[in-house]
Amino acid sequence: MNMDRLITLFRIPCPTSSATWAQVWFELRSSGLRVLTFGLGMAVLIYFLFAMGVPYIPFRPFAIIAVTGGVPATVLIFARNAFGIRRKQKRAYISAFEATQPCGTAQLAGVKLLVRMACVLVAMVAVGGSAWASSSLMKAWGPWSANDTKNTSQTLLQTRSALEKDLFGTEGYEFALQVVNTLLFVIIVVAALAAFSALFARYSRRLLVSGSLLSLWLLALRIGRDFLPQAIYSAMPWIVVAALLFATGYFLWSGFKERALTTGYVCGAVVIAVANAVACLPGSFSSILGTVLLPLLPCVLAPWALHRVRHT
Amino acid sequence: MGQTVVEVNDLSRSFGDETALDGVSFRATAGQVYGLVGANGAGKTTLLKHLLGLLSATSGSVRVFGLDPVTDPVGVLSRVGYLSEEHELPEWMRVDELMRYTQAQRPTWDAAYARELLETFGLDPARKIKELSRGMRAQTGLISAVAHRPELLILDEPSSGLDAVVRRDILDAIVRAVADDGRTVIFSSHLLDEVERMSDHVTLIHQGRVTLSGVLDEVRGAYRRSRVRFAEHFDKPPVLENALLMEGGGRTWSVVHSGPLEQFRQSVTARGGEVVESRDATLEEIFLARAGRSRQQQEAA
Amino acid sequence: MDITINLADGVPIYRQIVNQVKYLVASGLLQPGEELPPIRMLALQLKVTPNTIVKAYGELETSGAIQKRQGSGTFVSEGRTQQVALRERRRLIEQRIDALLAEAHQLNFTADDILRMVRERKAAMDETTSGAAEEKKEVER
Repeated sequence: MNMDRLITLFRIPCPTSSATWAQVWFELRSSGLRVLTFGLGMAVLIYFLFAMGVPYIPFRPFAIIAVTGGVPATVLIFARNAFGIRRKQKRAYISAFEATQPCGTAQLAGVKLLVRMACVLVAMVAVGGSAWASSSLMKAWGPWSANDTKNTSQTLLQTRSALEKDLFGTEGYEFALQVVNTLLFVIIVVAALAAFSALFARYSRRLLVSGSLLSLWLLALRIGRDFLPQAIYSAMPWIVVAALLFATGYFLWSGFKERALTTGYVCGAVVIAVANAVACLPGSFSSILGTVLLPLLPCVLAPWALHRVRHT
Repeated sequence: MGQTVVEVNDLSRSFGDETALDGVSFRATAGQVYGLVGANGAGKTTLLKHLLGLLSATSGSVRVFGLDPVTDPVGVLSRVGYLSEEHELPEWMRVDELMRYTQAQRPTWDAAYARELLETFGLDPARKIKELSRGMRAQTGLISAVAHRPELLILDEPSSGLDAVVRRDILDAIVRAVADDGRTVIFSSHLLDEVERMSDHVTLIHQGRVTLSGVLDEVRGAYRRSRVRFAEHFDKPPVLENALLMEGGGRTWSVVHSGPLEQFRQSVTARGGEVVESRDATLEEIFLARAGRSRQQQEAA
Repeated sequence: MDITINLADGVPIYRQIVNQVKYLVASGLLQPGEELPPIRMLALQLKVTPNTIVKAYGELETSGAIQKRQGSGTFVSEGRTQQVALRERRRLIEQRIDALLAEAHQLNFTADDILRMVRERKAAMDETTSGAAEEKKEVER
């Protein structure tokens, strides 16, 4: 499959009137369309597998794998590295071409994240929609083999309707809530993965060390469950929230000092954070604070990390 | 005119254990051409990357148009055109798409000038950058660097590995930038004849330090190449005051030396010789004397 | 304007331009009142920085060899050209003589030797030219 030819179908000329729209065009052409085309491809593949499963039994397990693996894969694989950080030999960097454009880091980060989020969402809708529509074809599947006493197709269909109720709910507002949750989830994942890849590009050693320390600490907590005082465990959520608060505060201050963050960008991040908290209501105070900080930290960290990669 | 465009003060930079720059100071005023010379790995690219904000100054300060390129990338980069040896242009873009994209990012884009350059270079706007040869990529990068008439043009080894036609295009662009608009150009090159023709000021960087910096004619005037003839035969070059490089053998030697001619003449006469001819040194001779290996240095070692 | 730059000379570029323009004026290849190429064009032609041309033209203007007319360009000076021409021609020949003397000294000839040899070479050159002229007359007959 020649990616270039597919992308040629979407050839829109670069808008020259506004720098921001030109940047959006650039992001779409450099990485966004790839995500969309693969999403579309996967959607088509899922339908194909389920349809082929009607007459040919060997296709059926692949169809199930495609659905159960397809949607999470879409999010994780396509959401990663929104900043387009490349690796060459031992160095990780963003291209000098992008780094020397007359664009502020916060705005650059914002455009990259938003375009990638939009593409991932569209790809998710395509794949998810295809999964939902194609899986209804299971009704036409019938028995899987001569001794199919467990009636595999029936079991699968039951699982499907249970999932349907869980995801889409019975009321209209439950569905709307799910949509908002999905949106927020994608935003957070894209921002977090972008921030992580940028941090890893610049501070790989420090990340590995702190990651190891964190894992050791969690392991210690797990092992010491029986003989460590209970107070530590009940205080844990507060400790986590305090750490998140401290980290967010630090990166906000540092970001503004180095002009990696702008008020516009931070306002956008705050809106997302508050929306996330509202969507997760009700809860204890620490959990509300946690749901505000959880998206806020990656959103603030992302341009800060991009700034560090751009200006090594 | 005469305003400071770039000001670098006591800039130092290390990558791990390697020192790339050590206390480098550099100043550029408007309307002049600055040539940076030095051996590979001397620190030229590192210095230029600091001007663009690609590297952040950890020790010392960098100011372009009075702004810090790290905290104000928009203020600096909107007035800078950049062309580097690596030409990191996006491979998937077409030439015309690159023009449109750069036009959108730079309000000072001169579409007529861009079109004129495209025609002169004979570039096909519909071709993808990855299909272009190295020379054509350099030409494309050159257009996107100069067509928005930047106040400061930074060229990092722009001519390396390119044929004479493309090199001429690049030199023409430098001339036009300075002659037409009074813009400033800073370029690094290891092609010394290019630097000698095109620079008003020359800065020699050797192992991360600035060993020479000044108006080209003055720098050249401070060094002379003299031919000396001695009464006696020498196997190894005799030690002469201010001599930096000695070539030749036996009785006749060719010396590159600093300082006034009279002083050198006295030193030669003291050793029983005479100065047969003397002229200003060329940039290549100065470079080899200051940054290269000389027999005298090797003897001393 | 036929000017070439030689980097191996050791002579600053602006000085080479000044010298060559003076030579062109002195030899009559540049007529009084003739227009010199604009700075930008000459810089592009020679592949040198325009500021060098500015410097060269500046010096030529100070010495009176050229004149900048407001708005129309730069022109070779009229009237004074004769004086400039003579001074220039003398200077050029003197440069050649200095080089000849230095070389002669290196090859162990005295100034008297040189003068004698100049007369000998001139006589030889006159003979060949008159011989050639006679041959020409022979052919024409």
